Amino acid sequence: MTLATDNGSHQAFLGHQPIGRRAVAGGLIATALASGLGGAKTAAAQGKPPLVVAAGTDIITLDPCRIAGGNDYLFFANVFEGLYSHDENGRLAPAVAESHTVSPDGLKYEFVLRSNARFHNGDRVTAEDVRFSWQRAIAPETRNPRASVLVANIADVEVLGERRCRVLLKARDASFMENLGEYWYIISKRHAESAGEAAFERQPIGTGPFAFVERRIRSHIKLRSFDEHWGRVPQVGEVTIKIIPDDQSRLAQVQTGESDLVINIPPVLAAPLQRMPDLKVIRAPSFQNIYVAINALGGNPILAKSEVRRALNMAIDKNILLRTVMLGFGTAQDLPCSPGLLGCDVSVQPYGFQPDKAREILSKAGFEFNKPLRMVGQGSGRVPQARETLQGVATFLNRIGIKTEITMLDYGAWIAVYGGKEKDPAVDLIFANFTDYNSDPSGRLLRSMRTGASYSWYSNPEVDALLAKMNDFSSPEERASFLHRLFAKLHEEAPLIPLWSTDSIYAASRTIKWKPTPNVSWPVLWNVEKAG
Amino acid sequence: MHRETSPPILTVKDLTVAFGPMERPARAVAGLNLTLQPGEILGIAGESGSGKSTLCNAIIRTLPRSARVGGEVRYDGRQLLALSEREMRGLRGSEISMVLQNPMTSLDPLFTIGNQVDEVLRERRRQGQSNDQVTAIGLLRRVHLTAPELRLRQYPHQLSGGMRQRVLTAMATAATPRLLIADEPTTALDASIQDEILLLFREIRDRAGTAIIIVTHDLSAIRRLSDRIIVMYAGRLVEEGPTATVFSAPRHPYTRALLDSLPQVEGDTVTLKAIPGQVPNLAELPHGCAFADRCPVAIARCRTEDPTEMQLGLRHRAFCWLADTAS
Amino acid sequence: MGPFILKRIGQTLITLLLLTILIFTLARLTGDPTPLVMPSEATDADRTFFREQYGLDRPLHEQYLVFLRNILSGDFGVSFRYREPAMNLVLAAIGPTLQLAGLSMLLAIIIGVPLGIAAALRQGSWFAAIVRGYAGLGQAMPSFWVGLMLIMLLSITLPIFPSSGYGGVANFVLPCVTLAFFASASVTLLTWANMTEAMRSDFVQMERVLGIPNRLIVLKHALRNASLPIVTYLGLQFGLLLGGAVVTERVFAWPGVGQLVVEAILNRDFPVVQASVLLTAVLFMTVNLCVDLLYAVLDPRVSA
Repeated sequence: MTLATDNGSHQAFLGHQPIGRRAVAGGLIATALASGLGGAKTAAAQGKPPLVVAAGTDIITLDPCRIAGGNDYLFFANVFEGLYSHDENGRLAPAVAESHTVSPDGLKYEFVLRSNARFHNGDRVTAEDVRFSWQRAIAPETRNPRASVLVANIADVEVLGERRCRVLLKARDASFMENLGEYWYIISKRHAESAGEAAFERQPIGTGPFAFVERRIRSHIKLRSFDEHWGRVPQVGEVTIKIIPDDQSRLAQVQTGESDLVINIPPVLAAPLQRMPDLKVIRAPSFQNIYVAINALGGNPILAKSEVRRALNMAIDKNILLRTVMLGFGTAQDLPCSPGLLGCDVSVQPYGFQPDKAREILSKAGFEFNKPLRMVGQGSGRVPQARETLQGVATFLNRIGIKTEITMLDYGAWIAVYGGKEKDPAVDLIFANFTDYNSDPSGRLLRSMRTGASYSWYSNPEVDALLAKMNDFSSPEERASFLHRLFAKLHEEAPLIPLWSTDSIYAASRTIKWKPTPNVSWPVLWNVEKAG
Repeated sequence: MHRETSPPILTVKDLTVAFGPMERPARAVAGLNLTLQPGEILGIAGESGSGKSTLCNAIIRTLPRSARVGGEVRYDGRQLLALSEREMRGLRGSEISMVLQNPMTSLDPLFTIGNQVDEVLRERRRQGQSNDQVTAIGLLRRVHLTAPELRLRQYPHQLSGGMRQRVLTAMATAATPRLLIADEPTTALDASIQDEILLLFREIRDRAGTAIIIVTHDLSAIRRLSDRIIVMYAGRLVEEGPTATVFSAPRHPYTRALLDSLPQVEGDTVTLKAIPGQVPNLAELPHGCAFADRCPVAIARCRTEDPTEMQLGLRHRAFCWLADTAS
Repeated sequence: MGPFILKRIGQTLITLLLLTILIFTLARLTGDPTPLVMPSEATDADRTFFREQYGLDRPLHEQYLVFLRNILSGDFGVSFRYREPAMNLVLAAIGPTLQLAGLSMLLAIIIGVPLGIAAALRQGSWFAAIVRGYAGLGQAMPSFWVGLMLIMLLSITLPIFPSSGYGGVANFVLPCVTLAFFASASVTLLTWANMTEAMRSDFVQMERVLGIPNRLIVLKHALRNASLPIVTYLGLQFGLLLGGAVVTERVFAWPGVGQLVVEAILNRDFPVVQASVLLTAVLFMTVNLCVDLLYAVLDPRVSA
């Protein structure tokens, strides 16, 4: 019987709670204590209108070092910030820091913090906080499941002054700046030390445009406008995010006026919405990509041939599918990336919709049309129209004579197949959705293209070598051209069938004026304006 | 005792009760006539399906709504069939009372005896048919129920069949009815208890002058209790007369067959002589006498002409073409 | 009464023990929670640590024994998803569910019993036909549709009630009506059938013959006799509502136990599944025990 190295783990198994993780009895409401917020005036006193938002899925944590998925950014993108983040146009811009310099070897980044960057409790943000944020993010006790992306590559954070720090990287990382806004949130050392674990479970304090007020699990999250923000003071006062899982009920919220803004509207409900006079539909391109991964690992030898995979791409009219399945709410793709992603602006020869040619290529390659392709899909629930998308793809394959067998799985079973350590050789094609958190492609490419990576159904040593070099650049221009080459190669290799990137669809009452930040897949709310 | 000169308490004239479709009605009772003197005990004998229970329900008007009743039922000068339901309710349980077939299930199992007897008493008092002198305990004592104080607190399932029959009789006679109809009062009881219940009925008649109609297929019970007896077959009255006369000299073949079918016990042997055949379908009665198919002495006339009433002696009559011939 | 209760408690405990085995096994059969809990950026070491932390790498019987031992000391584990103690999540959800189930049952009884009695007394009339139609609709119409229709009519078109959420008194109306519509259908039919049968009993005939007023016959005698199977059924139905009002909870964003369990199953959140099922089972068995006791009170033939 092996004991885990960390004492806390074994304790949890035996039934003793890991240190500090004791819930407040009754109600599971986390409330920021008034005393911890040092003199902040309530927004009501400022006379700003409240905003009510209806969301579909609850967040799972209030701790920035425990983020598990894109849905949690609904909270974190509004309450926390990194040294740099993204502006309302989706472009990299200074946040807590006001400027930076980077050494020629790409290993040392120096940041100057804003003098007016403050935490929600009024404290100024100092370099000590930056260092502490890194320490906590990589501490073994924290068990940050995403440490590998950025903070684990930091060798040290040197405090050079109250507002200056130097970040030393272990290896060059061209994605470093881009990922600061999503993977390294700045937290308050003083607050963490005085409040202990409660600082993260019950009273999260960040630097973002909104401050945490209250949370009831499975019910709602309350935020308030942080009027001392360095530059993005919200136009609304109090924000209540209600969790309403059913799509129709969520939509009803804005029809009755109980909510001002509804997020996660599926395309099927969006179409009739556009005809309603007192509502408006707001859409913004997101970085959520829908594609079908091809098992090129040899379980079905024919799929290991790149011309076969290209032919499969040619068999499918993605534009038709986008129109019929997603009702046009998306942007069709030929590359495994969304427009706006770094390096995705390479020009390639599109596969096009050429079903006859596809069949020809397949026949020549020795494709057995009588042997059905086994497809695994995701039942609807998490991703709108997931089921219909895969069925649509199968229909196009059927049209050129390929037999298909589809197994629909619920999300848990699907992800066990898709993300399993050993990829099931009995699966030929598998539906997939993947969201890039920012314009840096390295995260997704590494996790879905590298041999043996968690979501990878493909193995090519040449591509692996390219991927290994992908972040090892100091010059953005050099990197950009490298990424072009990489994407071009991937287009040629066709390890998957890219379909489209979806639009984020919101419904709002006519009193709301808002331009969602492009190329994120969560609502950033500081620039929402509400009349009256 | 009864006096023939006093007016009858109950007169049934040409009573017909039909069920089913109008084109082919099943006549459970067909053209029945009878009279009952005050204080008289009349027994009604016949097989199941003879219409005995239907007759009782017709008198007290508890037939289902689908029944079509014709004829006249006169009680104490009033036309019962013409009364409103409200008026009938005024009579039921007070002047005209009935004890039903199955004592085991005729009491509400969820309430105590006392609760149910009190309920009846309250209703009788409310209608002015009784007074505070009559108490639940008094009623139970009157029917010779042992340990009446205990019984009041008990539930029906804690009492035997005989005890329950006494309770039901007590409830039915709470306001001293002038007519009591007992439908198979002893059928569900042990032989040893049957006598006691029959004696109870006689006591009720003797003490209060209540006229009693006892309906049963148990001929020995009728013999022990009734003054007069009518025999019914397929909804018709086939013979009527004083009990002793009918039992010693039955004039209708059916009556004779019924009496013959009483089990004869001689030593260790018991002989049962069943009547061959079955009661005919009341919707498809043949022409002529309804009993003709099963009658051992039927003649041709029996199959073509419905027998008319034949007077045979002192208040003894039968409906048979051969009634006045010696058996 | 004492030994009866003790015997029932003993039976309950044994049933619960068997249930722990069943739910433990079934939960784990749904699959591996690791890919659902761990983000794609997690390393293998993170995944291994997670599995060790919650003992998912141990043999099943060992996991079960630890699970059982922990339960006996009141520890139901920590939710994989929320990292909160599982029982706290369930306790927070059980309140709204109990309130919803209780009020809906009450409404179902208030609607169903009088309707059933009235229909039993008016067999074959147009009224009985309407009641039959109502009951048929109630049983046939899916609750999510009824719920959405109610939201559309009484929340969007006529802004009378809130469309969803748990909070004030007004929030109860639509979900309770949704659930009661379905529950009252079966209560109506059951009351109708049982009242019809009760009205045909010999003692009802006897009471009629004795001239007991109809009001007493129907409401005192027939109803009491008819209510025995109805009470049993209501206990069952309440238990069903405790865990089975999932669809209604989802449509109305009601933070109840039904939704919690379904989400926990989809998320492979074993501790929450286990805690929910066990707590719901305890509640259900308690309700049934109460129903049995009530039955013994109502029916003197049952020797308790």
